[in-house]
Amino acid sequence: MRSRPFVAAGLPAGLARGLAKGLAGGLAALLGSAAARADEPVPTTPLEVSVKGTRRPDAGTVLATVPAERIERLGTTSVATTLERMPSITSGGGMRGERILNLRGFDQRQIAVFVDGVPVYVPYDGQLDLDKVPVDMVARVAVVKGAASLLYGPNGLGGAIHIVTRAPAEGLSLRTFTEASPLSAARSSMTASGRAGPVGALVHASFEGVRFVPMSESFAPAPNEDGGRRDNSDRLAGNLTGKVLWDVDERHRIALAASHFEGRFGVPPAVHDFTVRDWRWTDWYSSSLGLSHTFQSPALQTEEVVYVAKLGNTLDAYDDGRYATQLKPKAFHSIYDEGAAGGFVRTTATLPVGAERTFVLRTWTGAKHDMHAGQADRDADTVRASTNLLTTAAQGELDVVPGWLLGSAGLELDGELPDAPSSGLAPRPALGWGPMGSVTFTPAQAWTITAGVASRTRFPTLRERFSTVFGTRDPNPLLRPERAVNLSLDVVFKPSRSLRVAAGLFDSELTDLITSVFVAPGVDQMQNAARARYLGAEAEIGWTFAPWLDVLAGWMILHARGGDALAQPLAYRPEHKGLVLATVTPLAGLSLTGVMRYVGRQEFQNPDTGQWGHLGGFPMFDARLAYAFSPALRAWVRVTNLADADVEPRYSFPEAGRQVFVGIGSSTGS
Amino acid sequence: MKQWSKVQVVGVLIALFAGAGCDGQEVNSGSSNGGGGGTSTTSSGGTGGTGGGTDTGGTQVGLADVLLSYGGSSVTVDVATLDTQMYKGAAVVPLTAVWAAGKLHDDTTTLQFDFEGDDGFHPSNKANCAAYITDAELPKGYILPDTRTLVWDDTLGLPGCYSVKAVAKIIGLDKK
Repeated sequence: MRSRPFVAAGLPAGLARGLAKGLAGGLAALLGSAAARADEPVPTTPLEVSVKGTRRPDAGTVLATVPAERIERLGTTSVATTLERMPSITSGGGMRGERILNLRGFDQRQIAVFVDGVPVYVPYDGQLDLDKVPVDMVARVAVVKGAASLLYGPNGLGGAIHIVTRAPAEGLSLRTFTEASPLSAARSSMTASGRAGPVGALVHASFEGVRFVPMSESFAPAPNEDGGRRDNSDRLAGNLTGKVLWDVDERHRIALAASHFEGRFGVPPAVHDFTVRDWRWTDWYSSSLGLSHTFQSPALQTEEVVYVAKLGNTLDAYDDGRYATQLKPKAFHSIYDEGAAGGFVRTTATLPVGAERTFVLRTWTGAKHDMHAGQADRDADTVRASTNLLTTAAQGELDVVPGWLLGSAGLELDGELPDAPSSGLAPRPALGWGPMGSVTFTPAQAWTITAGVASRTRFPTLRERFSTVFGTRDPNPLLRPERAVNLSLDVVFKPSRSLRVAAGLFDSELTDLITSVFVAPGVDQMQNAARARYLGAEAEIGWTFAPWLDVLAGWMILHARGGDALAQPLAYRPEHKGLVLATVTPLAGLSLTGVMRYVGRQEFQNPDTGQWGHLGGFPMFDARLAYAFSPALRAWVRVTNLADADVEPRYSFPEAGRQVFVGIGSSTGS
Repeated sequence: MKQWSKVQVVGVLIALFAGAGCDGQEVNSGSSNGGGGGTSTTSSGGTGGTGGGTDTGGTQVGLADVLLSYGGSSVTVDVATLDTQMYKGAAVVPLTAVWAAGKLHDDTTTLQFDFEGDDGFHPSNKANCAAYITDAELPKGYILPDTRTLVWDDTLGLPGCYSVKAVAKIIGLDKK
């Protein structure tokens, strides 16, 4: 570990070190990334941590990372749209105007999402619309799938998404980003950061304004949408984030971060449905505050984090498309007020075993309190619910045969202690346990073979337990956790720095799935009554064909079935998903990037009639031409949906038509 | 091995990206209405468009018979035999035509209406849909003959619980 001279303005060195050690027992951080030294690899997931300088084996398709450089090439503007540019993730619009993700068949409630190590979701719904999370501040996104690891906290039934935000860089720097699509949209952000000795700070502000989203010229007028400008597709949002970190000495770091996101969003109506929902998110906000401490030594690394978060929104249903009155029976004014508080401790200890072997023990222990207060309409009673989650996990890794065979095994224990509601049946505490094991075989330097198995659980959301859906659903406080056993087999071939080929098989079997069950005329109830199986394969290739040509391609095949006999199709699980990303740099500073996504055929259930239908597959093309005038100044033109295709990844919710954006960005300082 | 120039490689990539453009997307909508650009109106997944057959996960789709009742009398009407009109691209039968076909009580101005689904569901059981459908609202209501799903004109602003699937019964009630 590089030595770092200690400087603490105004404090004797010994006192400062003492304060840091005193804080080690109880401090927590919102920012895992802030805990990383700017000149060292940033640990984001357990699979990415380097141990004693030994490079960890390539995990294959079970771990995928999208760095900031690729996010810029993709030209995406939100975390959701960035993740959709991965073979194993699909999404689409919906009746709440949200882009909810699906990872290898698992829906987003079944995937744990973290920002800098802190779980992020609306406590009531169990998921957060990542299309509302801007990508400007993101340093990278890592996706952990299925059997990869269990050291990231509870509820990751099918995996986890780790969003790592930028940390203060050395020296002073200022980054700006401005992009606009003439007459329809504009985005801008600014990030200022600096470090002076052991202290660093970062401030980020961003703004997004969308007047409308254009539809494809090929769109045929539908009952609820005549084409041209997509109805009710406006957005107005802003984000303010601040971070401060202090390297107390070469081993201790303390970080504090605060973030506030706020916006209002139109909800484009379903174009085909008989029932028209004239909805708007009148208010949507998310605020968080966190404190962290990290300790690093050659044999031990620790991270302690505490955080609080507050989320809320107002969803208004209007009488008609003028969005002016709420007098008719279908109108409502729904308010969510959510909160979360928690903390975790993560450790990595490296222990020598004999002369050549190393045993690494990783642990994760945390607790979280979620609360919800919601009002379905102005005169409705406020529904309050809260729950507590406790998790402890340990995972050991041993290089059984150094450089040739690595074994890993672990166990996670989860407990849920729901709080009793003000009325009705009290939910029961629940326990879940999840063993995990994997073996990595490196028969030759260029080859890695990994087989893994992990059992995971997901506790019911507050909505699944307590929602009455305007009187059409019986609450079920006694819901049990969902369970999944995830198997994976991955092979990686990496003959050189410029070529990487990975292929994997996966099989996830889900039981006790929470699903709607008919209990009385017009009344349903959420029960642990379903099963599912997600079986598939994924392949990816990354090839720097030449210094001026870089290609990344991936493909996923998914066989998703449900029902008692696992023979029924499941909605919105495409049979295929593909991606090709190619960047050509014909001249210094000039780059052309093309992105092709292919979403295969998928089944859906018509919300009006309950009948099943299918959506055909479709490709989507994006392109971006960028020129760097200097290291500090760059400009670009990007086009989304280059072919102006009229497609519906979700029935009745078409994608935007062709859009052209022009942008300029600057980076000054280091 | 042949060496490719930058221009050749870029040209191949552009051709690959541009050559697979899609004019539209096939959508089998599973409904009687249109499903968007390049759509067909047949349902799939084992469901029946009209007549018998069951779908794989949604509402039971049976015959097109609906029982009309008023007072102590009732009559069955096959809505599939009635004239349709277009609403939002779908062929629908006006509820006024269904009621008239039953010849139970021609003067609807003295009536209000409740509905019952195959599963016994009544909108009037729900707080949001406690009010019966009035004689003024009935002319703006329709039924899909293949699924017996109720459809209401947007201008009524009715909540979704009135859109009963697989309507089994239309009940006429005297106004109080």
